[in-house]
Amino acid sequence: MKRKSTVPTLGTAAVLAFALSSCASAQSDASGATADGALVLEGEEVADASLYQAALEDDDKLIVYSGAGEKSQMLQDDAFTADTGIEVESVNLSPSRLKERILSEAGASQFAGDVIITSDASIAKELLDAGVFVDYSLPEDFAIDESSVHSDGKYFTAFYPSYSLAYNHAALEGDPPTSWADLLEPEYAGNIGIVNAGVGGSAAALTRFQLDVLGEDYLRAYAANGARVFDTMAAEAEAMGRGEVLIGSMTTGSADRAAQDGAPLAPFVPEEGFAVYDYFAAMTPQGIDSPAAQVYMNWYFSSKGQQKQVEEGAYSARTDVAPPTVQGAEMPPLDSDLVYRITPEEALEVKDEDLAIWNEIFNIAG
Amino acid sequence: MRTLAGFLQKRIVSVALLIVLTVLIVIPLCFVFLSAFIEEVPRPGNIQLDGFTLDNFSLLATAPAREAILNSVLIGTGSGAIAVLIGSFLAFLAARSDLKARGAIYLIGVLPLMLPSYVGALAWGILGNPNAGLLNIVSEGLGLGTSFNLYGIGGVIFILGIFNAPYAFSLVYGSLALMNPELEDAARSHGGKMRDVLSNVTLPLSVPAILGAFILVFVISFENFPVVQMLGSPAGVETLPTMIFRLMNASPTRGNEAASIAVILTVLLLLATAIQQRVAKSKNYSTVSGKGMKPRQFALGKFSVVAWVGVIFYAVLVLVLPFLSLIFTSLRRSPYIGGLADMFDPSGLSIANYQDVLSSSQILQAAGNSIVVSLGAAAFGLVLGFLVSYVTYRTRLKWTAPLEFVSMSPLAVPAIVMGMGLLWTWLVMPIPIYGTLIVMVVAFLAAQMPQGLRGVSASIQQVHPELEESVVVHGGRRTTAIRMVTIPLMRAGLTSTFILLLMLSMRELTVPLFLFTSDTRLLSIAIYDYFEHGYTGSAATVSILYSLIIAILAILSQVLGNSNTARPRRRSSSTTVRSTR
Repeated sequence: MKRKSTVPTLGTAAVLAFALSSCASAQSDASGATADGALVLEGEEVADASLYQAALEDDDKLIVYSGAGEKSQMLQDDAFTADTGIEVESVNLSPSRLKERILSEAGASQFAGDVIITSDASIAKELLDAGVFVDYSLPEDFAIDESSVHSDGKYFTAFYPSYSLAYNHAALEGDPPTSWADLLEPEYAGNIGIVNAGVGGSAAALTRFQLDVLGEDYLRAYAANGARVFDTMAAEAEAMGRGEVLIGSMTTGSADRAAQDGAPLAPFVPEEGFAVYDYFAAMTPQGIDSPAAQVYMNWYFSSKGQQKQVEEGAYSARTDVAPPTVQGAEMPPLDSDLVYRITPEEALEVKDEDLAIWNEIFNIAG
Repeated sequence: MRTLAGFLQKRIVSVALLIVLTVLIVIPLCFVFLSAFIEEVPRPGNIQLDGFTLDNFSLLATAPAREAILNSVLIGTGSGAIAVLIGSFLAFLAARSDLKARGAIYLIGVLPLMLPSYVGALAWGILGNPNAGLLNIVSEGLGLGTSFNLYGIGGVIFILGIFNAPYAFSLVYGSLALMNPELEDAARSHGGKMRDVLSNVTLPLSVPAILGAFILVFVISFENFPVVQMLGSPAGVETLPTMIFRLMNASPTRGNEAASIAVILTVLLLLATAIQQRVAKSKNYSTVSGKGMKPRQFALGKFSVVAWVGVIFYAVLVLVLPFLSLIFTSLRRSPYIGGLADMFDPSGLSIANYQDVLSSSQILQAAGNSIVVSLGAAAFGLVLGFLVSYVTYRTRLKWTAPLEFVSMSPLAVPAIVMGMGLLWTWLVMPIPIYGTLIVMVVAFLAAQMPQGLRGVSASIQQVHPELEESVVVHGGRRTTAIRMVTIPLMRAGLTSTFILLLMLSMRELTVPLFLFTSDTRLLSIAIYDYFEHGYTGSAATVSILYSLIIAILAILSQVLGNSNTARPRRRSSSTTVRSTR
């Protein structure tokens, strides 16, 4: 990865000095602004003075097209604005609808997004093929895991949400479950939940884990034990919080958010392990010319920005950020045997076949 | 040349309106039809007209798809039967019984119209879910065990039946209230007992209205999406509309297969609508005469108590319990209820949901969006309805028949199919309105064109053309005549049509489901979104506020309607009846 040019000329230095004085109020609001005009967060330079000042002076609105949950995206945006003083506007849709909108707007030359955040390898591939992703170089001293860089830097894995199990600790009687196998017990019949495998990359990653590690027979037994299929994980979390189902597969982030909202949910790491999946971030042709968009991308992958993802229950794409915690305990590292992870390329290869098996098991058309 | 000018003159207004309606209605439907036979969904710069395929329809040959068709038919039939039973029972009591306070029965018959069926489904989902439903918590607390399960096809049929009963009530009430008493009198004077008169005279005379009501509710339930999604999906029940929704939201989107199901759904609905229209036309033999008449009342005697129990039971099912469950859920601090004691523990209550919702910029924006879109859709819908109606009924212009046909065609198109078509149309059109509130207004204009046209047409036909002609004969311009004579005389009809369109726009969920973005969310979408994302407390809170807004609008419409009633006016009951989906 190449570091962006950071050597300002004397002329630009003079302009900068003027800009610094004129932007004093914007900087004073931002926690990462430094006296020399750069953006530094927790000792890490996120944007040099020239980029940061250009971003502060940029009159164009910074627009992020995001397939992440609206609440989660809003938290990220608020943190970004607090750290940088730069306002951001997000367009939130589910990843599949987001893709349709981006491709349609791009086809009509009306696409206005600067940065795209989405899950699902097939969606990322379609957007890449449509030319909506462009090369971008993150600061080279960022400790980004190489496996998080795709198509030579046209898009990156920004974080890895963990897809595990959670249960309702208020409604569950007896010993809490510790493994995926426990869910096949008769005591959980009709009380287990799962999200439809066709809804996106997250469910596809879980299906791959279940088929590969637990086996197809496990999935059949899971369905036969009266599993209730949900269209979204949030709906499953709500139903579990109310005791409609007692236990089910869920991202630790969703379970944690529901718990913070008062639901008696407890996510845990099962003995057989759990899946993680990729959430991608990419720069668009508009964004590459926008200083604010460049600051956003850099912030997203900065240590500070990545910690926000970890707080949401996801693994960082950086090698120097600790794993998330679940129920107060740190989760196993990303390279642990308990963490099941496949590359986007592998995900693309198996997706259709996995979905066909899943649909047949759960009696879903298509 | 003169002939050509005449040819154009006779058609140009019709053609202009036809173009507008084509863009609004026909093109979206064409996109759906086209998408069913190609491999890629239409996008700007990517509309494939080669490579036609029937592969998209292969999905319909699978067992789950056949099950979905069967489920749709069962739901339509079951809810139609329940709605007709309840609606006819209430209509008889309100129109022909000797009960006191029949006005209250009438009110109970129509009041549930104000509560969209998806709000009812949300409320009953909270009440009757098998493991944690409020009714089950109470039942278990009383030692009766778990007794209620609204999840499944039975729950869907029940909810669609009770919440669509007002449609049946309106139609049957109209028939009973207008029934000529002579035939019943003849039967009685020949010694017929009340039971015999009812079964041999009154009921047969009402059959067309009852059958029409059944088919109407069948159609509305058959294409229903949100109730099935909320109550059927948890039990694995899928119908054609929910299949379309799932395929449209799959990743990646499977729009072509969704379109193939949409085509089949539309064909089935066309058939049902054609039957309904046929039955509706045959209503003429319900013996309305020109003579002054007052239908006889049936003395219920000791059955009065049973009748009132039935009325109150229905009101509890459709109004009291749903609102109580919504209010309770909106006031709960935690979604989890540990038991009967926890349920009634005051410390578990909080107004946090109300504080959150009322201070939420998203909800305030959604409320603003709903009002702007509804006002826009109602205003433009009224103008378009007036233009089409005027051209059809007041001019000798050519090609008015296709104009009316296209205007009424959304009646036979499922809302979810219309939503799909509108999405693709406005993504492809070189007019950048997708992602704005304008596309919502356009969508509602298209979907509610039949209601707008019917409302205005009923009104315009009551104003004799001679009044307008006399202005023109005395030298006034046509536009002046319309502005000064026709429109003022139609004021009551136009006002009620405007309010009807406003209410329909406020309630509509399915049509904008594929069109909204984070900036253009409507209140109906916000409720569904909260539900889908697991925020039941917030969904309940918004539902209550939403119902209040709709109630205020309804009262406002009543007040405005009364103050604007310049002359007596009879409207086709179907104007209001075929209102929501």
